Amino acid sequence: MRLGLMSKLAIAIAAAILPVIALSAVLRVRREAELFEAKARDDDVLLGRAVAAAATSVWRTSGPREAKQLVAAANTREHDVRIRWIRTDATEPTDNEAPSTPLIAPLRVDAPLTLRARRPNDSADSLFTYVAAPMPGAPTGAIELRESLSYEDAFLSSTIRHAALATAAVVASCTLLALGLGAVLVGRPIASLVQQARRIGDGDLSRRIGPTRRDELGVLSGELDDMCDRLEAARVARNTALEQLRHAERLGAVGKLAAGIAHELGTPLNVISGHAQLVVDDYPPESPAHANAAIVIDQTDRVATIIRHLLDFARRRSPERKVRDLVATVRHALQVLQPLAEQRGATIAVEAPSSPIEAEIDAGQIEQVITNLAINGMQAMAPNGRLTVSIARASNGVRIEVADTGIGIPRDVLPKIFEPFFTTKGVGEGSGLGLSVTYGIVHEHGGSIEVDSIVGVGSRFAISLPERTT
Amino acid sequence: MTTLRVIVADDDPAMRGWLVAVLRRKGATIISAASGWELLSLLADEHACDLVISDVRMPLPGGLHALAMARAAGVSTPFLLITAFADDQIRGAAKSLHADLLDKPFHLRQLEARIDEILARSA
Repeated sequence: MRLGLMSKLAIAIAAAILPVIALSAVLRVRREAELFEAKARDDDVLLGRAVAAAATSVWRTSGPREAKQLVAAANTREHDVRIRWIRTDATEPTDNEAPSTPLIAPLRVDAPLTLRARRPNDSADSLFTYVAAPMPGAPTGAIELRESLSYEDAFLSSTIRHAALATAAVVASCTLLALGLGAVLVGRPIASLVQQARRIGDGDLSRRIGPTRRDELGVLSGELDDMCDRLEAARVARNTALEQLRHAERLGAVGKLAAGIAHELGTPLNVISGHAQLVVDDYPPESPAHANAAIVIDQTDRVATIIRHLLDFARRRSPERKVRDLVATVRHALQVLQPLAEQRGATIAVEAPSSPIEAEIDAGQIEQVITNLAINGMQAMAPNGRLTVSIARASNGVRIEVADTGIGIPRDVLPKIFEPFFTTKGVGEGSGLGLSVTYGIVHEHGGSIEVDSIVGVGSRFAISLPERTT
Repeated sequence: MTTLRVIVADDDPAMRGWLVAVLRRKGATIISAASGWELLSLLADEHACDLVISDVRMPLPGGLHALAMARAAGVSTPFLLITAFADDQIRGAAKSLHADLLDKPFHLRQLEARIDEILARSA
């Protein structure tokens, strides 16, 4: 396909050049021929005059015989020109070689005559030149010079041959140039475009052609690169959406299971705890039965807490959203946590605008989100850690960030942190449901939550919420 | 002062047994029911009942169904519904049928407090 295109281009260029060269050759040949003939006439006239003058002078001094010998000698000396002395007054033809004599009868001394004619049996024209040579006693004599123009034809054919050669050379070099330049300017970029198109077809969107050229093919490859960018962005978005969907499905399945377990455990647990409370009530505080029953109550309380978290997670109460000030909501949640922060030697900093940021939220649920994230952050930090909570307007809603200076979350753990029952905390410290509940609440608000973390530096949870529900 | 009369309905004998034990400590007269049907038939017979404590989740009819039927029949006895899984629908239904709701798991003190509160309100 590449060669085909280039061949067509070369043929088109040759077809355009060929008539131009041919026309110029024809014009040149014609002009050269004219110049050649004019020069031959001038030369012959000059030669004729010289021979005529010499013959006339010899005739006068030495007689007609020497004069005729001189003309004959001149004829012998000149190879291309035949020279002879003729009478122009003869009524009978001198021979059949010359034009009829009446034609040259009015020949004057100062006006030589030249004419072009073809003798019978000749293959080319001859140039006839007549110079008046008034001889004493023969006043109507003339010197005739005959020059064959056959080599003019040879010159013409050689010129035509040269022109044809030149034309062929020009066409050949044009073709080579077209093919060579075509390969560099068109072939190579097209090959890379074809390669890129094949890669895109195979689903490889990682490569770009890059800004290599400024011509039309460069524009095309730029468009191809842009298309790649858009396709890749779409693919990433689709994969992210699929991943979120899978995650949500997983959470949904686990949620149902959790609800079932919580429900089945709730009743016997209540019975165990209830009976233990009866024992505590019935026995004096110093009795071992009282103390043991108190332990049973404590432990069932722990289980009950886990079950409550499970139910919070599984119940998935849809948020009751009202327009509320998000800044106040977050501040309220953090205010409740202040004693815990002091106990752990942590600082809580809030970065928020002084004006309210209103959003349609379930304030209770958002407080729960902030509480969960803040407690996680504080548990991850050594004493003197700093928890920074920032609230700001974003392009598509509101953004809340909770950043800690804690131990960070290892990369391999990050994808699992929102899954129910996943916890890195010690036994009894966490149910592994806090972040699942957080995830669920944020998503039910039509928002999203992202986390990035560096081990040893800290973690940052970023929540995006829409300002209004649609 | 008359004796407190309470109907306890729960299909789980252990839970029912504990509720009976708690109420007995308060000096109440207790009638047990192991299903929604039993609860309804007891309500039909024992009009002079001060309080019904019923589990929501029982083989049909559950506590809510029994409550709805009782209210439809004109029974205005206070109900305390116990549930381990109260979604918005259950809360809404309980509220519209003038019943109280107690989430499992709960402490003895919470149960006692709720009973006292309901009785004080209905007195």
